[in-house]
Amino acid sequence: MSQWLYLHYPSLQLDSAFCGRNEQAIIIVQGSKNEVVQLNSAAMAQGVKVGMGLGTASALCTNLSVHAYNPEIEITKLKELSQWLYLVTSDITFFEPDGILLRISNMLLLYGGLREYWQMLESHMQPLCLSYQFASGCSPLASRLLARVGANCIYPNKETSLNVLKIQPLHSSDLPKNVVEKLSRIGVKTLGDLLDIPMADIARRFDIELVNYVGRVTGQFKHPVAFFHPPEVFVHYLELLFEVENTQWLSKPLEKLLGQLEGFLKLQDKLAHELLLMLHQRDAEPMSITVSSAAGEYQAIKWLPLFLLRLESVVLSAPVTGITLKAERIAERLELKTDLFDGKRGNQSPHELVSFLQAKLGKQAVRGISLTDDPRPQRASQNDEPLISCKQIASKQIAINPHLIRPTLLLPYPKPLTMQVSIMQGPERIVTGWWDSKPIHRDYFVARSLTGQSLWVFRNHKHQWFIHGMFS
Amino acid sequence: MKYAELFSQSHFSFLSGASSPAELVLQAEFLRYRAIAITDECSVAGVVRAHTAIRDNSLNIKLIVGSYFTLDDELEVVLLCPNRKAYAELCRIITNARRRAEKGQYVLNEWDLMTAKHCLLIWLPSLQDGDMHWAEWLKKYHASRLWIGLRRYLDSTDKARMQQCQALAQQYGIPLTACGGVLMHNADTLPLQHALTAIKHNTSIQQVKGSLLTNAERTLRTKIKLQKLFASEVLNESVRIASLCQFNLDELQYEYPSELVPEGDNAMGYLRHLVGAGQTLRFPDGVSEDIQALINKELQLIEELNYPYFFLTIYDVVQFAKSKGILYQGRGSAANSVVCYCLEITSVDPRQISVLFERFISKERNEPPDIDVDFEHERREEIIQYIYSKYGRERAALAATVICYRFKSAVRDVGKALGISESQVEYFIKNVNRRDRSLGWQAQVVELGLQPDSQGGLHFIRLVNDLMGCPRHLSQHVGGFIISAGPLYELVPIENAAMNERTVIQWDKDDLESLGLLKVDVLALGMLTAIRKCFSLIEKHNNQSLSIADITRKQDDAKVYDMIQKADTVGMFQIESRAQMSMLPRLKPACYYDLVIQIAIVRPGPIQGDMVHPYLKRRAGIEAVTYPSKAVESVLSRTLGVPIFQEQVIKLAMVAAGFTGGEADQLRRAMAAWKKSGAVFKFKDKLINGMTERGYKPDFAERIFQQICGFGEYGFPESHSASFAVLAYVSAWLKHYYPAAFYTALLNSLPMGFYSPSQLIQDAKRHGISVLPICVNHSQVEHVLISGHEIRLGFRLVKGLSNKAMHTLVSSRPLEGYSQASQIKSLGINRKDIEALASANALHRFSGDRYQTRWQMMDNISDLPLFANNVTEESPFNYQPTDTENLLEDYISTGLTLGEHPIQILNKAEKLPRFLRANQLTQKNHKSLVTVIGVVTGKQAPGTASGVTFITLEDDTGNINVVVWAGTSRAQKQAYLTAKILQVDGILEREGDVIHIIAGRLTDLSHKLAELSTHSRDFH
Repeated sequence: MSQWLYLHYPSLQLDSAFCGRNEQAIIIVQGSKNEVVQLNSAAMAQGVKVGMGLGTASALCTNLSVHAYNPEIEITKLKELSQWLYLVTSDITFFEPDGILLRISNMLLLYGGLREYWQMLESHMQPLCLSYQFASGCSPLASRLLARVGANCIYPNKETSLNVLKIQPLHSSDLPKNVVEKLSRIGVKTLGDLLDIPMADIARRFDIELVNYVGRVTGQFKHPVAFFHPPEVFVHYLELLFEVENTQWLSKPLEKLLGQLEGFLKLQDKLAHELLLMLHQRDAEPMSITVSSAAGEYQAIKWLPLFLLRLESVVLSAPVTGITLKAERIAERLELKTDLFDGKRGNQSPHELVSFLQAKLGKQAVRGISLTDDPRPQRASQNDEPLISCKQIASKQIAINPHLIRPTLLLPYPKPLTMQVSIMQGPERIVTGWWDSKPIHRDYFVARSLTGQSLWVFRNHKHQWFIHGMFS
Repeated sequence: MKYAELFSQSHFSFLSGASSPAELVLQAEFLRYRAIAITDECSVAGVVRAHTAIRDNSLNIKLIVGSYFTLDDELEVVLLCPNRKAYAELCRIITNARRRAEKGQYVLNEWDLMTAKHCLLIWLPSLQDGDMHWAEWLKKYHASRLWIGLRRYLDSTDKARMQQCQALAQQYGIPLTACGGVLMHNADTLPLQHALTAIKHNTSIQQVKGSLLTNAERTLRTKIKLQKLFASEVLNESVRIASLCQFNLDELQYEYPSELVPEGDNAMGYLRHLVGAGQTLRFPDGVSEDIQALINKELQLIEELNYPYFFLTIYDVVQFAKSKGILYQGRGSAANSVVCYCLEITSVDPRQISVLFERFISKERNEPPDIDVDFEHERREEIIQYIYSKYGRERAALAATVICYRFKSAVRDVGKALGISESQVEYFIKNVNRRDRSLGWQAQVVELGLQPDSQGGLHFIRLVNDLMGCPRHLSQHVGGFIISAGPLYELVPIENAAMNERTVIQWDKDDLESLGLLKVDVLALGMLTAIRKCFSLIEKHNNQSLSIADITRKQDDAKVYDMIQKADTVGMFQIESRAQMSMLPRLKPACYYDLVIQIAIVRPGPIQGDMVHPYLKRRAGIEAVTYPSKAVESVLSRTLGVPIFQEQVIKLAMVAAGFTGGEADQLRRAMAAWKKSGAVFKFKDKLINGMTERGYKPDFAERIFQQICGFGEYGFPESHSASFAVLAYVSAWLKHYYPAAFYTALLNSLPMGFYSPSQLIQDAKRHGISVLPICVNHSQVEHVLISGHEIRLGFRLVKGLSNKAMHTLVSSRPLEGYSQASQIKSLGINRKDIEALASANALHRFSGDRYQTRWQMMDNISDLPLFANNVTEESPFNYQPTDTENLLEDYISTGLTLGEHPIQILNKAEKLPRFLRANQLTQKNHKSLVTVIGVVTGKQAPGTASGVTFITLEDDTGNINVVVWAGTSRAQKQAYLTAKILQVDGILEREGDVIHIIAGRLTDLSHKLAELSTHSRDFH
């Protein structure tokens, strides 16, 4: 028979967001039930309890920091946790959002016994700073129940765990509320009470689910669980045959690793978007270089020049002894659609060009531009990811007003109007933006200068005049 | 230069307009406009308020009634009413468009516009291709009444719009007029308008930036500015159009339904006839001279003011109720007339009260007659259906109630508009104590962490303030009907209400009152149901038939007042609350009029106005009763010189400060809404000057004004109190003479009143009435009175038991009763019902206790026909529930227990320290230290007592009143907030027969019960 260990994280969201912070009372509230679900010890000290309403909690506690419960945070954390545990133990299953079940029978041999296994696990978890409750048990449900009530015990055999199990009230089990309610109404309040009733009597009065539960919790029935598999990652280390002092000489070994990556990605039919190259230096911290491709790429021949460009500007502090290549971001391959009528194209796709330029100039230096719906002219457009397609812009649903008159060139900052101009059209009055403390109060006009240039000028509420743009 | 604004929307164009109708007309007058049209979108909901604002402030501006419509997003028009016919037409168009759509929406169609033969049309071209088509279409149907509205919004489309309008005008020969498209009365309202736009899109301002107005030009602009923007011809044209609009809301004449008067008779003659007939019924021994004089005077007044139809309408409704055996009672200024007594609208016997107070509408106070009729709450729908069937849906509709933003809704919506996170907003709402008058909500929000000096904080506070009081939508009034002779939709538009088959008009009761239109209030009152049920029980068990009038006719009964004075008033109408109970032994009401005062005095108005103590002192003879003048004495003598009723304050303003009837009426309305509008302060100078001029001391005048403010929304009118007092007295009388019937009737009329079934039943038991448990063989659906002094609880108390099951149980019950569980199962009632019955221990006949019953009932095998009579083999069931478990089961399944009280159980289990019971407190001295323990049954923090909380504890002998001061509750928050069973160590305070415990230490003992209920099965 298998042995199981269950880890329950009662305050996973709190711990992962505010690890150990106690100077202020913090509570996590489940909005739909208006109930405190997690809280730190500062809140506890002021009398707040799990299950309390937000109103009561805030009445008890002045200066309370309230956060909304979000199971997504916990699930993400749980996945991270599983990967971490996978380093030391196999057969991991999540119970979303706050529990992990381990099948430990297979591990005992490896670690030489239950106690040793648990000690190892505990020390492995210590740096994570998460509070947890645990218990072993003869079935997944039994260990889960015991962990959730905070048994915090590794039981030497089935009998001892069963005895503890029996005194547990049914409302802490996984049984649906209405079944627990129904059972309590015939005087069945603990798991022991339930196990005392012959299966046949249960079957005559309850749904098959209850029979299943009883069978599973005692381990009489099989309880199939799906085990966690860590995601495939690409991390490869290459020891250099000799120490390299000039980065140009890294090209060959790098090409080899990129070739391996290409094989890895091809197999999975995926593209890498970001690669991390670590240069392990003698007697110095390793140096890392990140290169990314906006469109995603798998071919070594495309990645290599990007790396070489970056390496040009790298100054080594010590000779390199080895390199590690890690695929930081891998994604499904998306078909790049090209149109018959898109016209003549170079060998480089726009995405390749952007990647190339970004590798040379830095990511921030290559930007796109997009429209916003802000009524203030200087905020009507913004920096954005390069190569945003018109479709994506349209999906932001910005209606373009055909009557809107805007200059071809907008100055980064308005310049005082110093020349004589004549007003051609206007005013268009813009009084808005009070909400983010950048209000404007301007009358815009189309004006013509003496030299015949069409200008976009405005007058502010102090009657000062400025040029803000030029028409072509 | 002259200008008339022909297109402006108030905040009754929900979530578009940002200013109130009053703000718009005031600002328009300030800017010296000739006229202003209030043209809300498919609505005239705001026009009466504009009209009233002009009248009350004597503004020199003309109001034009109109409405703005869009048709399929293609055509925008404003319709204006030049005359009464056009107004009827507009109401019809709005009604049709509204009735086609769901609540709050409208769907206009071409036919609606085509058939407008009297309204003036201002067309607002859209700059789209459709404009040509619509120009031709509009010209075809409305050639002589059509204009193009030229708007200058100074936005990016301004030039194109202007060119288009001018081109269309030229091409089709349609005249141009200037108009503003006003959404705000001034430019400072722009942030509010932006917030409303965000709320309308259900998102934040950041997310709808593109849809916001880009400037504040859609406001009422100065004439100088208008002159710059528009050519003088189009400005003059607006004034010309305004001069065509001669319709005034005052023209609306309400016509009563004529079918109320038999053919060949006139209304007044018929009313006199009915009153005459009623006289012989109400005064079988003949009418005394003074009452006859009163009747004549009242009838004369009714004739002068032309109200006979109003009385006939109500007479007709109550006659219907009477014929159906539905109990009712009228209240309100006109209801307490002898005429109403004769028409059987009320049972307030004039002989009981005649000398004391002014019973009728007074001509000089200029208020419309006010009669509300309360009906049994379970049967009010019958009355409503009667009105609909008698007058038809075309002629009868409910008045609207304008649902306005209040603090919570404003915080929520502004929070969303400013992008503040939802949990933060909820946190503010939960933690702001709106009753804390020492600290405004603004300061409290700052204490809760809002940065007051940040831009966001300032915007938040300002916008919440602005939004509070803005209307959100129209809803139906609880029972205010308007009934007319002709179709209602020629008087006011009708729209759909949320409830199926209900329609509401676009005006609320203030609007109706303002225009002098009369409504009939059909309200629901639980106590009337209880009294009627009590009457039938007495008739059945004691062979005595009673009516409300029968009881009042017996004159005041000292034994009944004795009971009231002892505050033995659980279940009595209006005088059963905790606050009333603590006042009764002090005020010691001894006659009907004392009850009238009693009901009105325990209200926030008199309490905030600090009138209670002076009155008590004067009544007890501690303070001398003095009056500053004869005139004041005439108003206040019946309340010993202390103003207690709303009417007295109004009258005082008239006699002591020289207010005219019209002004007094305005004061009355300002009082009702002073917190919202602060309008009452306009009267301050006039009141104080008026009083000092007449020789009153300034401090007396100042106090009267403070009392007016204190009265505010809470002042209670004597005319209503008088009718309530009748019901209070009748319920007291019934409780005294027929207690068992009284409790049975009350229990059968729940939910109503102040107390739960558990509290009522405990009170019944303390009055020596035995209460029998629910039993499958003895109970009926309702609670039943047995041989006049026992109550058998009915199935209606069982939580979760369906109506159908209750009736099946009763109707299929064999004569000798059910003898085994399987009989119940074979009735075909569902499992949930059986479980509910078992839990309520209603099946205790068949098995020892509910646990065993449930175990047996759950068994599926015996359901199969073959096994029906087999006793199948069973493992033994040997669970013994404890007292606590039974107690909890009782509470869960029926909300009460007939077994031992929780405190008694805990005490027997020796879980409690030494403490005193409620009935032992009377033997304790004033100021002695006591410990009491009880179940927390009530916790009230009334706004009138700053920081004090009243907690009611219940033990097995009665209720204990605990007073917790703010400091105490703050220091012991946990016990104060969460305890269900509470121990209080404190000081006993006694004032006469009133005992309070002033809490010192609070200890939460709730866990004690849980300790008892953890039942262990280990023993076997």
